[in-house]
Amino acid sequence: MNNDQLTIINDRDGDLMAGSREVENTPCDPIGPDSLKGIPRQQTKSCRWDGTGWESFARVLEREGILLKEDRPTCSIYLSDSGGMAHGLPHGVVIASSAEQISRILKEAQVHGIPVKCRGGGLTTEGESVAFGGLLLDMTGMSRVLSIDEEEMTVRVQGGTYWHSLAEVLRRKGLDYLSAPLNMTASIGGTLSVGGIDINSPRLGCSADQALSLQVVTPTGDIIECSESNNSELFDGVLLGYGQFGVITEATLKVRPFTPITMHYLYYKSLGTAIRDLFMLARNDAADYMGILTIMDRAVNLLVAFDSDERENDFSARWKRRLKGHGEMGFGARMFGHYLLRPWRIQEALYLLGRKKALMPEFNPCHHMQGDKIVDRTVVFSRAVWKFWGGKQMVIPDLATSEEKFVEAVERGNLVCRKYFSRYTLYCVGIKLLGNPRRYEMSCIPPDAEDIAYGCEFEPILDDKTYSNDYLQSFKNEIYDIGVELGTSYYRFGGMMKGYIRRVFGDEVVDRHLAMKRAVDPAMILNADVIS
Amino acid sequence: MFGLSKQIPTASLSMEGGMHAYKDCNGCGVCTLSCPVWHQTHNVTLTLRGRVGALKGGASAEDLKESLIACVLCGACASVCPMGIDTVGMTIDLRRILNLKGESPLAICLSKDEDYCPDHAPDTVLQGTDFFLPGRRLRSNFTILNRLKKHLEIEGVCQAMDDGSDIAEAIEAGISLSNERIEKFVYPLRGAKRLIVMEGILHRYLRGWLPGVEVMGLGIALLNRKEIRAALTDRDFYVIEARGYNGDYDNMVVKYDLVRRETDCLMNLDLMRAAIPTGASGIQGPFGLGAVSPREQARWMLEERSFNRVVLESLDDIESFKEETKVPVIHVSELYPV
Repeated sequence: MNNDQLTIINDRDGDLMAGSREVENTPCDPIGPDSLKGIPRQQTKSCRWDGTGWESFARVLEREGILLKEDRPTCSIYLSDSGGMAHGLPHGVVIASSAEQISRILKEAQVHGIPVKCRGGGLTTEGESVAFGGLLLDMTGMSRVLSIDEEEMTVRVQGGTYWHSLAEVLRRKGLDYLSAPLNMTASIGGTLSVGGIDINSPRLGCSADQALSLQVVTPTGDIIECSESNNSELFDGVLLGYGQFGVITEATLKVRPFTPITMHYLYYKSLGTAIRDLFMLARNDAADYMGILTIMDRAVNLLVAFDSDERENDFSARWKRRLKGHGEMGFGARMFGHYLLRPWRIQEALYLLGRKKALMPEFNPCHHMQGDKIVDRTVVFSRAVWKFWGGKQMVIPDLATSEEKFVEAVERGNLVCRKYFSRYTLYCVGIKLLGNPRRYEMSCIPPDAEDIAYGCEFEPILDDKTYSNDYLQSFKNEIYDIGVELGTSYYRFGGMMKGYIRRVFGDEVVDRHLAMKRAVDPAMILNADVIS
Repeated sequence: MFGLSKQIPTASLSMEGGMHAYKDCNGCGVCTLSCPVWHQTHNVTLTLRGRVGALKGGASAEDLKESLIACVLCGACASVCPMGIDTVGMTIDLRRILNLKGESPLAICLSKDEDYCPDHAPDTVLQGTDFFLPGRRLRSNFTILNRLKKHLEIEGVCQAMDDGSDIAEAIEAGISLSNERIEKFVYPLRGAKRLIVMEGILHRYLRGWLPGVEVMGLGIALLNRKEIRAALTDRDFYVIEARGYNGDYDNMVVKYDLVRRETDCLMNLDLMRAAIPTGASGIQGPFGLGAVSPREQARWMLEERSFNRVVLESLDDIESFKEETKVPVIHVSELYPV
């Protein structure tokens, strides 16, 4: 049997059966089956660009004094992304050094029809930052913090800068950024292009919403400064624009005074109850940071944290008693009773205990603590993320929904996780919306969300087990299918997610964006595989 | 021989060991954040992350020559790696391969260096419980060396005749060492309970060669003494020797954190609590092969910091700091009079 003919079919009971079938008139999918019922399988893997015009393009760059690396060792560095499921080599790599350099590259790319893929930290999981031929523009070459305005409380920073590198500079002045992914190697430009969710996002919004102005190199090579009041169309196109409308070379961001944080943990047995408590806290602005982190659906942990004692005291006085979660001792006693009555689940109980025992010290390392406050929350969380959830393949499909749909989306996603994996984690967080700016259209912000949107990542714990890409892709598709059925959105588009964009947003919206893209990028060369 | 061969870890001095660790890398890139080469060049191809990516794509040591030579072996990447990869061992192994292929400019330069004497070790066997191995730079500064000896004599520590500085240099350059030379170096130290070793790069090897012997850096050895800690103030910028600290991160981060809390002094630690190096200890500098400017590193460490004095553990760092600041720059041994 040909591997390409292998497919996995859901039977009526939701169990998996392996079988084969001929798929007529549809391209063969080497990545995985499409589990959408009634919809033909579609090609989800990007095809390698054929290289037409590359040689003349490369010669022009050489003449312009732009260092283009075409050797295999250099190109291999960018072979995959954090997802580890999409693999592709660019024809060549340029390490970005200035807006002017990028401008010259894009102008030539338009002339020669060369696809250009931008990459920051490479933390995408669907191959969005993998180049299947063409030029890879490594934005991390532009990683400098340019200036800090302590009066205006803003920072000007180059687009390839890692959030952690920015934090290193800001901390020396007692400052911090507002919100950023809990991942130290996310780049600022990449984050602003997709959203950027922190556990303070229920209060402060996504990272993209903290941008005040941007320097952008458009797909045709113009260098343009833009903001809400200046070239606002470009500003809204680039923020949450998945890299389609320009390359973010500089950004001015809001900053705030740095504060250590105090954490509280509440434990739940029910996902729905924990989520409803998260809704209540988010709606009432009852905590500075909040999110849900689970060990399967057995131990559901609502984390809340505070920048100040005042906020913490207010939470304790007004909100804590309304929450249905338990403290560690109370939850431990309930779990003990639960497993005492279900001795056949002893392995699961031992796993929960072991996981908690390993995790908790990571969240309170003495050298990152100041009394009972965490001093470097992003370092602490990011290290824990990579240590306990990281791996060579980061499989984290997500759903982003309005409040009304969130419980159902998470509970259905949870069932999919249980079907595919014995160990997994759910991570839920809210995103405060800043009105209804144009940039929210066709983004991770679901169209029907009001005031606060919610997102959930479904992350299997792969450990050392080996799964086929087909298996992992099937899992992801089943999660994403829930989004199609419920009318939600996703954090990720482009790469292997490309097939979903029309299904969730509809032809009218996608065609309008496609027309906008074609208008600013005639040769369709810049990060073009999001919707094209 | 001296019966030591079983104690020499093959993984740490052979090519079969560390270089394959790249296969465990998950590509998170956290190593990049603390890398001095990255900080100065913003060129991923010169970093560990770049080397690992290239190796996964089938690159050879020769393909990575520029990157391998750029690394200052500060070990910051190892201290923050969530996968616990022996990044320093990997780079050293690759340098050794590079040298075997005749492609290592470091090894070529070092072998021409008049000061490099791979067989200078004395035959004398010292008897003692604790030894101090000052390294080449400290050995040549008689004033500080004598002060240190007096400090350490109080604790019954005597200077080892053979401090293995040639071994440290050879390891760094990827030059293979004979077991005879290693055994000659290690044999007199076998009876020790504690070794105070200035060359941070030797720590990991000594721990492997002499299991059960406590190996520590000079700084933490001195800071163990209350009167020296008491001489540190919140107006001091204290510069930890990065290789020793990062190489024993799990222990050092706790010990130095206690010192920091007790004294309120500033330290050359980044937000991940990895020690920021100047890179001056690297052997590239004198040969003009370095990608890292120690002076720029010193500038970065001091930027936006308020202090009245700089206190150094490694004399290698002294010039960089003296060029970057007008406040007194002293060695840790000068904190407290003998």
